[in-house]
Amino acid sequence: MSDAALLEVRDVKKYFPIKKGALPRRQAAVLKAVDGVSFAVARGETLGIIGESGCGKSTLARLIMGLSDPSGGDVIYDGSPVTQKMPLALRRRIQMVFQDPYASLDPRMSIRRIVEEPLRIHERLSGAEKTGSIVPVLEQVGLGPDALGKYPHEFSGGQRQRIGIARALVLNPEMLICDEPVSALDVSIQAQVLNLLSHLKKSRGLTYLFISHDISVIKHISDRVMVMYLGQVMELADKKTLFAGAAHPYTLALISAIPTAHTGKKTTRIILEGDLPSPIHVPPGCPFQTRCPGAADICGKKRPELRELSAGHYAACHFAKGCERI
Amino acid sequence: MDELLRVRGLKTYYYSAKHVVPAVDGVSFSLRKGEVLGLVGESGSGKSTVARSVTRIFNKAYTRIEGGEILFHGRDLLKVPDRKMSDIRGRHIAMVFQNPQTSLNPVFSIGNQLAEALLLHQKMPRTLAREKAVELLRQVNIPSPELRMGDFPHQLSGGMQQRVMIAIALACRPEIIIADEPTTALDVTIQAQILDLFTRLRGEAGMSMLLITHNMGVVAEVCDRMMVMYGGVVMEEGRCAEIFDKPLHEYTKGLLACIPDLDEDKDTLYSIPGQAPRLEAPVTACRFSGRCGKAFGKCRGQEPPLFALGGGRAVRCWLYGGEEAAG
Repeated sequence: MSDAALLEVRDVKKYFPIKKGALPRRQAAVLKAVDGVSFAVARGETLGIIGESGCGKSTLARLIMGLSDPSGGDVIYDGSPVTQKMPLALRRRIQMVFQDPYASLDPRMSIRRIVEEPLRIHERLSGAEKTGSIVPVLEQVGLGPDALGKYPHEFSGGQRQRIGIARALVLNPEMLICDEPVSALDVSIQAQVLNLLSHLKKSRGLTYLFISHDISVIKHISDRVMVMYLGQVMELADKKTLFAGAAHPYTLALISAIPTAHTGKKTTRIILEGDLPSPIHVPPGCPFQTRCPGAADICGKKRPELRELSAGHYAACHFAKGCERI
Repeated sequence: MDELLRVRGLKTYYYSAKHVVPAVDGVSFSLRKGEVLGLVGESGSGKSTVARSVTRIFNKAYTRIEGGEILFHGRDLLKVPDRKMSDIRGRHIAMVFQNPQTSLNPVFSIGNQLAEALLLHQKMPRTLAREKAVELLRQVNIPSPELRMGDFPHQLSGGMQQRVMIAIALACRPEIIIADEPTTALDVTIQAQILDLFTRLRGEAGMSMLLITHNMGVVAEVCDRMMVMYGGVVMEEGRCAEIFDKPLHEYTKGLLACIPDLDEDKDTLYSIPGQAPRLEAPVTACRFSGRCGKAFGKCRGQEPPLFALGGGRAVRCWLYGGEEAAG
């Protein structure tokens, strides 16, 4: 992939053994949370990852953060491998913003302690120096210095998410992994946080990996979009290509499933039959075949490769060429 | 027009040691037969409290209905004793909750829970209840319903669990279904299935529905009329098509504008400045005035009433000061 890639993910797999029985616990099955995912993120880019629950998007985030080690494949950040044992100097360059601003802030820690915690771990600074680095970051996310002595319960959901963002930024990272950062927020607050993230990206030259199940949020914030289903990549393209000419039937269904508040331009909706299969029993062949309106014999036999349809537009479907079967 | 439910000036307050929180502070609406009414608002706007007041599912230790009437077929539900209320709840007015995982009982099979709903309200032999339960599961598109009857909730996916919840709600052929965020916990492709199911059931059974959601798209998809709530009161109401076409209240406009549009690219999203007001503070101004771009002197001095604009449209905003809507 591109030379300027800041993050490169090569055929990464993460399998979790499912154990059953009392002693001895035998391995009954394997949950393939992430199954052969490859992509690259260029410096300064926002890659959006979209998928439904259980598609492996959060597991992927944990792998990229070095919070767990892949079962196969490599995560390479700026030339160095990302593992649980990676050096602190590398770790501080990737930070994370979590989904639930209520659960991700310790209720017994003041905002000062929450935001300076990364500094305590990564740097040796005096109290005044720490305050000196925290206050400007808090200001950037729209909070005043009076927040320092307060506790999380004194803040609303949107403000808490700002605190979570400040904590991620205090080490001056190059890359932020945002795992559903706005899904717990009300729409009016969601817009504020999305605008803040766009603004920070520009002013600090950040690179984002933005995970969400909300396709309109993904479309708003991303440069390129990756669609995941049951641990595999279904489609990867830049935003314009994906929304104007999605090639994978799953992407088409996802886009058409969004109820839109703008009346008058309703498109025909593709309603998928059935539920997502459990990631423990991913069907052989194409993972999407059980719900695909255009599934054929080959889909049950052969897993479709992620093919490049046009420059930078990849899809994993046997019939992806223009998708005439749907 | 057949009016099934009319709520007038409903006030539901929560009491804590320190505060009185007027979660619903004078809400009026009516629901006609066969109609789907959407109740939209952000967290804390009081939409769920409205639903819980109508069905009287709330904790009496700290919740009280301080005023208003809830007329169901002309009969005031607030004057009905608790035991009579449990006959109405489920039989005539049923509820579907947001989170099916916590609403279903994990230790009973779904067939058992469906039959319970039937046997509680109707006298029938158990075998007949079982047959009806299978029929209900079929109606909500559960594949091979006979086999599924013995399943326990944890064996079903979230979408299937929500279908079972809907089947339970439908069990006694209620006249009104109150659905509180029925698709919020579901994935989008599953949400599309459930919304499709609602639309179909409404056509088949002709039931009325009060749909509570924070998602404007869901409202646009299934509702006829809608009410936008903020800070415990209705800010705007009217036919969905009209409101989406031309929202009048600044809050409604803001809510619609801050959803990222799939067909349009914008660098910056519109966002409503500030945050939702604290409900326990006394109301001396328009509840939205602190966040409203068009607020002027009067807005900060006096709360506007809900002005009726004709055709069922009403707005709580001084900019549209006309005739006050009848309670």
